[in-house]
Amino acid sequence: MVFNTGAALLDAIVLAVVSREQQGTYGYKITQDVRGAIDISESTLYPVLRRLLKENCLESYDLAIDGRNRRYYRITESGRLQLNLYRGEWNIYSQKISRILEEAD
Amino acid sequence: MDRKDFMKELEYLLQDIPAGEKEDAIAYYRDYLEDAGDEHEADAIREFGSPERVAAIIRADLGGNLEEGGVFTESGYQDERFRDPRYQVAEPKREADEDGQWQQGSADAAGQQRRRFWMDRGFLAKGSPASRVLKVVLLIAILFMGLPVLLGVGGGIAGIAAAMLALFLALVLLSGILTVTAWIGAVVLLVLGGGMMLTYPWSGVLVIGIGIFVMGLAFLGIAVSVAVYGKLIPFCICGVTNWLNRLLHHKKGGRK
Repeated sequence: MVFNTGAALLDAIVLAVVSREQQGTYGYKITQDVRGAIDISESTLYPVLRRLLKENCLESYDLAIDGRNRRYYRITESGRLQLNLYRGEWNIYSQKISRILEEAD
Repeated sequence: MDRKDFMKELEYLLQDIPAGEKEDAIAYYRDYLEDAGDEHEADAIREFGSPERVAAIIRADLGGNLEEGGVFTESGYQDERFRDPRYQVAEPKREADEDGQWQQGSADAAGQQRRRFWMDRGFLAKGSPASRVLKVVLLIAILFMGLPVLLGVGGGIAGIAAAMLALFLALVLLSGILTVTAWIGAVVLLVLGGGMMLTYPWSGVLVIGIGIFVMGLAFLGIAVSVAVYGKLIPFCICGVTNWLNRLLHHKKGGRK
């Protein structure tokens, strides 16, 4: 991708990806899903998830899968609020950018 | 390096961070590699770079300074400090990166910064033994060549110190002498003025006035003298004694 992704946008994308799963989702899957939108390295998301957990935007729980515990992440109520805020900001931002780029044509 | 080795190494590298943080991080990366499955495990480990790099990212995040250095670029989140150490070996090749983002200068600066980062964490030795010897030799050479300059500067400093000391002594002596002189002068003037009153009344009044003025100066002198002899000198003596004390104690500690 030509454009850089800021920390807030990465937060927004991760929150959106996690919020799609009612039961929560896990690190590997989140990384792969985020990679559907932007190009991130495999080691990118741990600090992001850790921060979102600390900010109470996400919550985690362990679930036994194939004889081991896997950590699941689920969006919280304040995470949803945050995501809505990001969504509104993104709409305004992307519309403005789109308009200016198209006008330049 | 397979999953087991990677996790063992990572666990070893994180042994001194808080236990809860360590468990969380280890659990995350273990989950990740297990979920990557047999076919993606090698890819994931390759992209992690090295256990050292992953450990450094976790540590920096704990220290709260991850955000300062990280940049989101064309190829995702990049942090100059967390390039894989192996990148250092391949440094010259990186100029030819496909997106042309790396100019030589910035790559050099970034390389230096990264080197410093790894050195701080003890991953890299600070210079080879040979370069250390060279440094010592250079230092001695610089000291010898700089000796005249040092002497000059030292002489200058000594001169300034002497001047300050002289000024201080002058202040001490003058404040006393001037006060005593002012008192004598005031008394003489008052007596003289009293005598003159009988013969030349106006001149007498003038002389008595001057005498009172000088007496005022004398009082001022007493105030200054009290300040100098009562405060400044004890302060200096205390300072010097303390300094000597510390010097002696320090030496004692050194001898132990």
